[in-house]
Amino acid sequence: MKQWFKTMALAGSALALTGLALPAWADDDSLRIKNKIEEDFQYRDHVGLSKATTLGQSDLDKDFTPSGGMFDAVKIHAILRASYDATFQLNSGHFGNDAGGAISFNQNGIGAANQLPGSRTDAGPVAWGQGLNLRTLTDGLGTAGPGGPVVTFAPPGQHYVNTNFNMAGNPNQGLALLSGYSGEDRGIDMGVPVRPCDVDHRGCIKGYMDKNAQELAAPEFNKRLDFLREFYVDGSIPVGSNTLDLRLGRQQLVWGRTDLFRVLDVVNPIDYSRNNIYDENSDIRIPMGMLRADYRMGARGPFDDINVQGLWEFENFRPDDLGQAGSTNNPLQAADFFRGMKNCWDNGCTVNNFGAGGNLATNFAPGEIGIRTANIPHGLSHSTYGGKVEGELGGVGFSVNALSTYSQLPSLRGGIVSNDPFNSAAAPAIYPGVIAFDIAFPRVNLYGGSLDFNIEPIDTAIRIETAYTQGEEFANTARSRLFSESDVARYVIGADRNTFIRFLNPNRAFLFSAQMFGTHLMNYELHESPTGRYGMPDWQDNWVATLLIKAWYAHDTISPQLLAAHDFMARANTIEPSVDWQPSNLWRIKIGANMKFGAYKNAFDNDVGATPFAGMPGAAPTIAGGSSPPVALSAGQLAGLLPLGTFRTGILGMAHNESQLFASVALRF
Amino acid sequence: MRNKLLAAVAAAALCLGTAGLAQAADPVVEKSFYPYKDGVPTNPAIKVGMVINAANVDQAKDALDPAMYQMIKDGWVEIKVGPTTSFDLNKSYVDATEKSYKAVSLGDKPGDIKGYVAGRPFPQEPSLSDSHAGEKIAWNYKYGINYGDGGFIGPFYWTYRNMASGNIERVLKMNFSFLNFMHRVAVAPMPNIAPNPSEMYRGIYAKVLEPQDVADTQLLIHRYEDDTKLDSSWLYLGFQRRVRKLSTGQITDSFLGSDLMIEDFEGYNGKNSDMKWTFKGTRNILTSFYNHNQMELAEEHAEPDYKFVGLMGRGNCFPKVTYQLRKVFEVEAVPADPNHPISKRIMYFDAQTMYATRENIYDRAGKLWKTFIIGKSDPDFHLPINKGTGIAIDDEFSMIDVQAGHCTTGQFKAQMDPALAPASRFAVDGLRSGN
Repeated sequence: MKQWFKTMALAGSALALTGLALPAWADDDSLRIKNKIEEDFQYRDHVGLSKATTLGQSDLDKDFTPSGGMFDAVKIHAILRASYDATFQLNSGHFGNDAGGAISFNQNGIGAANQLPGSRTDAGPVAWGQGLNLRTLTDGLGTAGPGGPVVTFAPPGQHYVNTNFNMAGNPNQGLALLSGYSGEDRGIDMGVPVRPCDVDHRGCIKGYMDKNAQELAAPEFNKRLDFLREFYVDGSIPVGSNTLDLRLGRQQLVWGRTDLFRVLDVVNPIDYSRNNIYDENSDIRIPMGMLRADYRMGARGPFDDINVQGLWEFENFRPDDLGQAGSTNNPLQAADFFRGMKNCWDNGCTVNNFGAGGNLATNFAPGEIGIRTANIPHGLSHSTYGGKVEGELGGVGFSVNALSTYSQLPSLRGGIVSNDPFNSAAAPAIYPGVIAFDIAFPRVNLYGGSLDFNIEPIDTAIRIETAYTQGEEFANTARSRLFSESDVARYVIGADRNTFIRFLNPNRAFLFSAQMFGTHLMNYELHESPTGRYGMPDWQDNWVATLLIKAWYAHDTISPQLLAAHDFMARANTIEPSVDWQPSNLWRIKIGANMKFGAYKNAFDNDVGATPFAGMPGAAPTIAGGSSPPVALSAGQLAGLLPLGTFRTGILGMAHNESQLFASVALRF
Repeated sequence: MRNKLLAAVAAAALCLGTAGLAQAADPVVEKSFYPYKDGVPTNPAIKVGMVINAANVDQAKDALDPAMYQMIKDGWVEIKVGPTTSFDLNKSYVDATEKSYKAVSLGDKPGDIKGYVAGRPFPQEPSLSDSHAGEKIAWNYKYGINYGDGGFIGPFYWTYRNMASGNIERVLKMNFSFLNFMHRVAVAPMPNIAPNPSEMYRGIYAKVLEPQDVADTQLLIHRYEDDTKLDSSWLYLGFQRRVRKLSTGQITDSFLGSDLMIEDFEGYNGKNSDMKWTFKGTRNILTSFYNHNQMELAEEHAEPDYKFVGLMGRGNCFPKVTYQLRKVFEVEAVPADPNHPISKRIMYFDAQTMYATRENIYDRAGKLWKTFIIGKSDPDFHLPINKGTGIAIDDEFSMIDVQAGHCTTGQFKAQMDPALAPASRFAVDGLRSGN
């Protein structure tokens, strides 16, 4: 918060300095105000109401014409936005104060013949907190309780000292199964607190995923003052026959030429909590405080148009908003997993199908596994900066882009000090392969470019975009810290064509817009062993295709469209038919459905095969006829959707259970 | 301030251009630019001040194009006849014609022209015996004086109307800018703006101001000197904040749901080589040329210094103006592309100004689909900035879809002020400045 004020103070100072450079100016026009009020509803099968948002937004613009001085023109622009999502009140059983409940896990079981001391070993339901107490395997301190051993999780930061379960601090209520959306498989599962953080603070990650009920329902009213969605000053300075345009303040900066998925359009983070990836990017980009300078040279040499842009983002870094456990949209279910893991670290937890070879629900004490903290870069020394050259050459539009920023998606870095769940006498240490993490947002450098051009014989406009990033981090069960760095090449080719389908509309063409996104991990690591597959769960190469077919009728007042996306490796699909109707300039009504289908359970090594602790029962994994991994690490013995299979399932597949109907009404004035 | 100074200089240049004697030494040029010097067209059935309506339209049939005849016959509109006046074009344009037209010739294939420098390339009277007469008129249109070396329309109201009910479905408020990068005759730099590496002849820029759902949409068109080269067109969608290169298919599709395609702008907004042009003859017909300040103007959208032309007739789809009996060249334009959404345009080019003031557009089945009226005002009876410019002012358009019973009307506030159309506005990156 303090840093935020510092940066805003800096921005204010810069504005003030800019102001000193300005002469007196005159109103060039009256204040222009555009207002929008929108009601947005979504309804999901099995869940019910998943959105009931009332949104108000005002766009304000004011132009000034300086009388003399360095500026040719000056403009102030602001967007104010406020919204309230009543879902958290109207469907509080799923998304609000009453969400979740008591949970139990269906463990695989190992059978009575393999009875472990003080634990239930048969297949079937095991309640939260009643899983296998690992200490009973080594310390013999387990205390039998009804239905199984009773364990107490130690307070955060303290070493494991006893075996009694402290249900008071981490009760079996307000929880949901991490697998809740997809159904349990034979892999691991966790309990996730799903109530707002002011109602249930368990698993909330300070400064990252810690929204209270008010912040979930009215997200603009937060510490970052998001109700001030955009606020900037534009100044235009003539430099000979060229123009230097400056923009200072909170703004969106759009790079690239593609829709839906991003390759170059990465300057601003994205708010996926609003409607996953399915809202217009301009509505869900998170505007950032930055200084942007565009030096526009017009036609020069062989270029019909050539321009240079530089940017410096001074507002504190913000990651993409991935929602929060218990909120309505959690892409990749990352927020659920993070909250469950954070609760594990802080308060202890039960993880299903973990112990005894991945067959028994297993209790962990605080500080043994989980997420310790999120390290979010802050301060001016962690700012984003970059630039681009963009122009037109011989009918081809091009850009060359470079950006030094921080990954807007989180990385889980293992290798932190944790406790040995098998040995209460062991000192806290860094145990290779242990699923104890800090969340990091690594510095990444992006180099890319884009092209657009027409292919006249086929009446098609082509868009190409590519980006090469250095410094991104990916989960990797073959590494002791369970992550590794990889350069990534991303690319997209898009084609837009207007085509008449005369029997459907003889007078207005349909827009066909197709895109193919590709991703290639340069430093990929995946091992196939007799025990299974382990390493990086992401696909080394994957492609997502999108298709938009849009039609217009009644002088563009009625516009049906079909949006489809297909993830080739995950084999997951989304299809979204909708109709937009504008009965007048004031009103806009939209109805549609967003349906997911196809595969949604891609399993991967869940690291349960790792044997990092000396006291663990069973032999270290051995691999016949090939190189063996370090004995502490997983060799892919056990796999499931959770948690790492989610990377293979992708953002389309992981929303499989979020098919929904939607309707919105907007009034603009 | 700088803009105002430029405007004053430009206006002065244009005024000086028209201050000379309204004549040319070359008889070919004289006949082309001053066709009414020895008298205006006459028709025994047409008298100044008369109103042509369903009752008397048959008498005036020879002075009307077929679509206008039918619309009057069907009672959609009544038109009042005004006196025919000479719309003398800017003298610098006439002088440029006189200086260079003799060296101009058509090339070997459609879209080729040789020896063109500036002005009207083919001022010679077209002849039915000349198989290239239609193409030459198309060149005269392409290199017409249009908006001079640079001009601006703002605001520009487009209203979508249901003809039967008269209901207004939608009103768009826009700005348009035009700039000639080559063959400039009146405003420095002349003849060309440099650098211009791709040899762009003309730029057209449009920005939507209202309503909100399409506000900030911007359209940019670059037309090249090489007529066989595809126009470059970009669309900036405000709600996406992204610049998109347009495919050619979008040029021949409805623009923002109106009854116009981008190709319809100004009468025809495409390459000459995209059409096969056939001269059909010279006629005297009633066209919407008038003096803006002498018309009955509308209170709607009125500004302190300007009122727009009013509308009347069925669905208020017709301009409330007087029509002049004027000499026109009738030309048929047939698309070279068999997939084009129309089968042909019948265009009536005003012989004196070479504006396409009347046009009938036929669907792929050959039936009349749309009819286009473009109202032109004498610049001396318009805004002060336009006085003396020698550029007929776009003042109103009506694009009527006779099949759907629908129209789009346009009400202009055109300003022949090059300072309002700076070259920077026609740069692609300028579209992104709103990002």
